[in-house]
Amino acid sequence: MPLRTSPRLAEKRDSPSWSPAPDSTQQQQPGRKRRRSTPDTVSAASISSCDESRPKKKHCGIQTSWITQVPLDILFEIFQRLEPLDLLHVSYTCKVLHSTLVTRAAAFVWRMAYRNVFPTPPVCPDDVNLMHYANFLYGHHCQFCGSKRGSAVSNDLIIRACAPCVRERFEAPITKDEVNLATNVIPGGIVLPKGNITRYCKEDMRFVREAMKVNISNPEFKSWYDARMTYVSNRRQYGRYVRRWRQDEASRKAMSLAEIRKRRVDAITSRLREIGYGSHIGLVGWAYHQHPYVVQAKELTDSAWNKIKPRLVEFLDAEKSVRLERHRRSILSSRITSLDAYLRDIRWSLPPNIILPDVADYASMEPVKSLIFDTPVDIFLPIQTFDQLRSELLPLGLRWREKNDELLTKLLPKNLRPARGRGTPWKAPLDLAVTFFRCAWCDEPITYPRALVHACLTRRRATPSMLKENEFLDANFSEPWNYGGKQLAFDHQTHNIAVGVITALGEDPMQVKPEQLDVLDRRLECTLCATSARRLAMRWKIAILHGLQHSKVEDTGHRYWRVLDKREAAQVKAIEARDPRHTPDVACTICRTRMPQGLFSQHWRMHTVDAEPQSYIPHDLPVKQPPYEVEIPINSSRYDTTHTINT
Amino acid sequence: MAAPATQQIKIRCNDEKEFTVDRDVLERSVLIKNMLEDVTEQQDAPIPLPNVSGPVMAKVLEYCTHHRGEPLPSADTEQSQDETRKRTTDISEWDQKFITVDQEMLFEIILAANYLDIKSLLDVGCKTVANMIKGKTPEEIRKLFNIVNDFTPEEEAQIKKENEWAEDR
Repeated sequence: MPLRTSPRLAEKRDSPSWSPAPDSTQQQQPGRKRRRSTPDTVSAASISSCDESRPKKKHCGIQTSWITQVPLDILFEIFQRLEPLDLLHVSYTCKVLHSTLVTRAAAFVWRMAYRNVFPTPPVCPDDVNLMHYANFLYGHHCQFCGSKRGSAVSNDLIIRACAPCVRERFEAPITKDEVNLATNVIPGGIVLPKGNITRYCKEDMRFVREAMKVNISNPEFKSWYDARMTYVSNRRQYGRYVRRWRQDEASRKAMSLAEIRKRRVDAITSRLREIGYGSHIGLVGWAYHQHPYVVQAKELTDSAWNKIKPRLVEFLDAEKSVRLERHRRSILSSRITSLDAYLRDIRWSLPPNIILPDVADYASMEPVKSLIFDTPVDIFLPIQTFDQLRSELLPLGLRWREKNDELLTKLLPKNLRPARGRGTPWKAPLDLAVTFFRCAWCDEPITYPRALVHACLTRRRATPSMLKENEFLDANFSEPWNYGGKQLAFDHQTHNIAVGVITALGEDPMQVKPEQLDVLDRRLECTLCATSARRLAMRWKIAILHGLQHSKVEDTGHRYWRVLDKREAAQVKAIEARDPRHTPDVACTICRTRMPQGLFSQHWRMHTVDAEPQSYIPHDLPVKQPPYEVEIPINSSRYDTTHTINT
Repeated sequence: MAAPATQQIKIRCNDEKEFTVDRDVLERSVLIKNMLEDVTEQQDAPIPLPNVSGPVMAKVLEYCTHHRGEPLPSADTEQSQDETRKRTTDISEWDQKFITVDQEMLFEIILAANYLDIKSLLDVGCKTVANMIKGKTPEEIRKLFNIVNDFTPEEEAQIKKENEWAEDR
């Protein structure tokens, strides 16, 4: 057998500069150490039948791999330190290594490989090949077709197969008898991943069907059946061992992966600390630990680090800028909160019914805006800071109101707009009893000046993406009044109904103010819904809302309203007065709590002050205020549908 | 015959490079130890080592010098343990640093350790190669050791589905 040396030595020996030692020296040389007692001392390369004839293949200009040229004893020495799956993978690399490992002579290497793993798998059954067993336990190749998708496993049958092969080679029992016999005489079936049908080998199923034809009282069948049961029981016991081993192996693998992940995180963290990102990692927290480059269950190598370093740095820089932005926004938000508290104090110090802008409106106006948004975030702004703006807040509020009055006036229809330049007060038409607006968010008709304090118009409605882009909106917990300018429109429908109601009352809809109508305090009856059994009387505001219910009637003008005479009105008011809760809301001047007017005197006594009860009508009261419609006593007057007042 | 610990022995590699080394360092090699024990008289002629080159011998001597004085494994215990023990792939820190060489040198060291019968060095070399293989896919192993995949696709599918001993077919 020729002495095997490395390609490098062989090259040197063949080269002209190689000078072998003198003969005399060579005689003194000891022979090469005798190889270990492997069954065959031939080299791995010489096992391959085509090794001598096959020219040495070159790969990328480099000589044939040295590992295929190592003496067998050394190769086995290496392989004995591997695990079964590693051996399987080595055998798949090339013909030389495959033929080395598939010989029965290499069985001791495989046996050793099984000893190297923990948890140690159940001993390979005698009728199963060690290579096959390695693929069954650790591999993922289908033993029937060789595809990589061998994910279906039968622990009892020691089979690993892919789904198509399972469908082709296995079948499910059909009848109940088949199921019963198959579960008794076949050691095990196979279930596809995510499936729930147990399939048995077709051969076994054919056998079962044959067995079903035999008379079960036949003693031969009985003895066969008993023997079969013993065999099945043994295989199933073995299957249980394998299943338990798989559970152990899965938990070991999970623990091992967790350890690898931890080592990787520690290694990456330590390297990031070295380049000055230590403090950021703690602040980034979860996002860092879940980063795809960090969470991997792979040991960190230098080359891997060099590859992921720029991306991780980029990620941490981006996280840092996000964090700083988040910090800035939280500071801005706290400043807005302080401003809100300060404005609340101011509102309490002013007469109760003064309309002032919301906090978001103030925050959008200079110089408040500059103070909040342009002061560096590392400067703390206590609430007292806003004292410097105190003198400017009321003028700012007035300017805001003028601007929005102008905006509301522009929403009015042409016939209601004041003629410019003729000395008409600009906001005069806004005060009319027929001026109604409607917001984009609720169906309620909105009067003036309630439109300026209507809650829907300052509610935060920005989408998350808008908040991300707009730090002003994000810092505020509400939005400036009618943000975007499209949340409010003139309510033509309510306006038309109001014109009808007021005309029915005998007043000029283009002149009369709500307060004047409240003073008149008349009651109307809707003739559209009146019947001989039920008639409804109501105040002018409730009549307008009631008119909206008849919106399908094309003309809801004044002729459908009947103004009650004094006697009827007195009866109706008497009914209304029965319940003190059926009074319009007022607010207390001391605590600014809203309540029905009928309950106010009781509330005032709680304040224990020696003053006359003082209440005010808040601006943000809805149109729908008590007293609501009441039924006119049926005997109060004779019902006459033709009795209408035409003015 | 026991020799003084300070005795200097000359060795000559196949590239004519000579080393003069302390006897106890050289005796890490069972091959040389046996040779020295066989030679009764002191000789000045260097011991020829035709299968080892100078650079490889230098690495081997570095290893032997570091491990000088450590007990050599006896053949009996080694034999008895071989069959039953689990083969670990743990390598000490110094050995790991020592064996961090290119693949060609690693191969030479393994061959030299095998030839000189330095069991511990052979172990380190084999463990290193085993560690290189562990956990890798066939393709990664091919790439690592520059192995050419000489299977046809049909053969590849065949070997994966059979997994049987060659003699059984």
